[in-house]
Amino acid sequence: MTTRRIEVPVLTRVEGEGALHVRIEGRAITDLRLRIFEPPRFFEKFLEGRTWKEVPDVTARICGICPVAYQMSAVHAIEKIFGAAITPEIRDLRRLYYCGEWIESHALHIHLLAAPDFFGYPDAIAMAREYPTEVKRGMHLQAIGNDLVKLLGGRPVNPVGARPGGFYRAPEKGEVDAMLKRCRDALPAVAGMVRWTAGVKVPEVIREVPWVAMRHPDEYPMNEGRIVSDTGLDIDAEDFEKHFTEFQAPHSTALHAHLDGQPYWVGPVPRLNLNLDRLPPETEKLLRETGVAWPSPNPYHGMLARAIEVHVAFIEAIRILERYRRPAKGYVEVTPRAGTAAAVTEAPRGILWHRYTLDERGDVVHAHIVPPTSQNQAAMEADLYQSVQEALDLDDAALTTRLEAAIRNYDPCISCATHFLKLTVERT
Amino acid sequence: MSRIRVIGIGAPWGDDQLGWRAAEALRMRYAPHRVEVLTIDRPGPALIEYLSGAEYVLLLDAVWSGGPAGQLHCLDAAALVALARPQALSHALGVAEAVALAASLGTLPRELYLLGVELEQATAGAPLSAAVTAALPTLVEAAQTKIAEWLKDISGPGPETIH
Repeated sequence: MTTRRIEVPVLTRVEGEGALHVRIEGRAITDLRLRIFEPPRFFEKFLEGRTWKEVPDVTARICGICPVAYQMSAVHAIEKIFGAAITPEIRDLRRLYYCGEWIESHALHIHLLAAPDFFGYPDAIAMAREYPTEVKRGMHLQAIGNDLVKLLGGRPVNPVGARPGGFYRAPEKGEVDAMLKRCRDALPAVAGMVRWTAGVKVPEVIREVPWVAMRHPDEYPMNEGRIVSDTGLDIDAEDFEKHFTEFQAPHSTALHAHLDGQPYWVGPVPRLNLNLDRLPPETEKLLRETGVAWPSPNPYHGMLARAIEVHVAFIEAIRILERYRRPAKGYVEVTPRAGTAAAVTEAPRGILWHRYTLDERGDVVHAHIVPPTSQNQAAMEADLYQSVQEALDLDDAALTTRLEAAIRNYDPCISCATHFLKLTVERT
Repeated sequence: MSRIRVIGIGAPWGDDQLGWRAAEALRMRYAPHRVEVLTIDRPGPALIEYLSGAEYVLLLDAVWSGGPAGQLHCLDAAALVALARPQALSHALGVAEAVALAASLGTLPRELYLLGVELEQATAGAPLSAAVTAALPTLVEAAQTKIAEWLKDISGPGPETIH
């Protein structure tokens, strides 16, 4: 019997450091480990003893690509503890802020991280020579996303504008009007990107894993909603720990998570699958025109799902920018009080759940953060197991390429998840 | 639109503020229609957008190469492209990778240089180090020399290729 050992010692085009090790004996997989070895980042402990005002600034540092998500889950939980109610205008601005993050994060993943897999290039720089129009368009959209985050966050990296109660500064009407024009002008490019990603030939696979996402009575979910699954789950963020369990796997510094004892899948594909009836009419029409059937059990549709969500984010951003009236103040006053509360929002990669316990001054006694990549880790391993079985006849190089693409479908953000990629495949 | 653009790149940590400080010093010295000066915070791939529309671009940034703190570096576009690590593309795309991507896209300006100073530290809350502060005037002077060449190119006789 031959042993095949496939090792991807350092996974590329993912955020953070991880590795994949696979051992195949004959046609049987005897070992498969997705190892995450960025050191644990201990953010939950760093937060203890910090005051409520510092929380969104600290949590924004957990991720360079989705700081808005970390800020939003935090401020919602803190406001819940304080019994604070924000105004509809601030609620709109938070949604706008989130649109910016979805646009920049998704545009970057589609063009620089995922697309080279489907066009047979080792990286985006090589692909850009043959597809300059598409990559340029993607980078243009990404820059608009960055500037939306900057509009409210003060800067695109480690933004500092968000606080419990709202934003330290509400943007000027002139800045908003300039953004509105750029967003409107970009809409044909966004639609072009959706059609382009829909036309990409992807492997036809089915992954039978529960989809988990948020759901709101009448919006495509970002900041608000219940946590639902296609298996009947429908819970409030406060009940997360009754259904979802985190556990340590020896080979990884990221926690794994299960839903009722099983792997589950969060992110753009599950989110779109569970919210097809919440798409803006323009996006729904565009989705129908692509001819791709939704809901989809295929992680390779992640690139299209992201493109669709970029369209959602542009439509939403335009709607919010159009009706913007500058409030006298960007935030409502909040009064600290002791308590515990949980909140969940839809980060670009899936649901991001936070729970805080604060004392009477509003200082953090306990913080618990469950990022989307750790939630997907068990599902990613299950997917990889199936991917190896489907591709056993490929040679080691082709198999490795296939498995790396399978991992990138989930756009794992290893930096966020560590508390996490390299690939090794062993065949006997 | 001015045909020369100076872009100070940085972050608010210690010596990484160098690009901003140098750009601010240059902003005072040129009329905006002659030289456009921008300061940007860790742009990642968005740098590609900032490079477009100008013919001559000067990037100012702190550099970390392991050399002595305060050392002046001058890199042209080809040198930057050679430094890029395409496989390392992730969310944390650096200046060299962004320039390499712009090169692949065919959107590089006619001339692109990066002038930088070797940093000593990039600590949160820290000011510029003494070594980098001392090197700032040299950097600004080197930038002015480059800008002067470009201004001469632009005003010089002979046909110009503007697309």
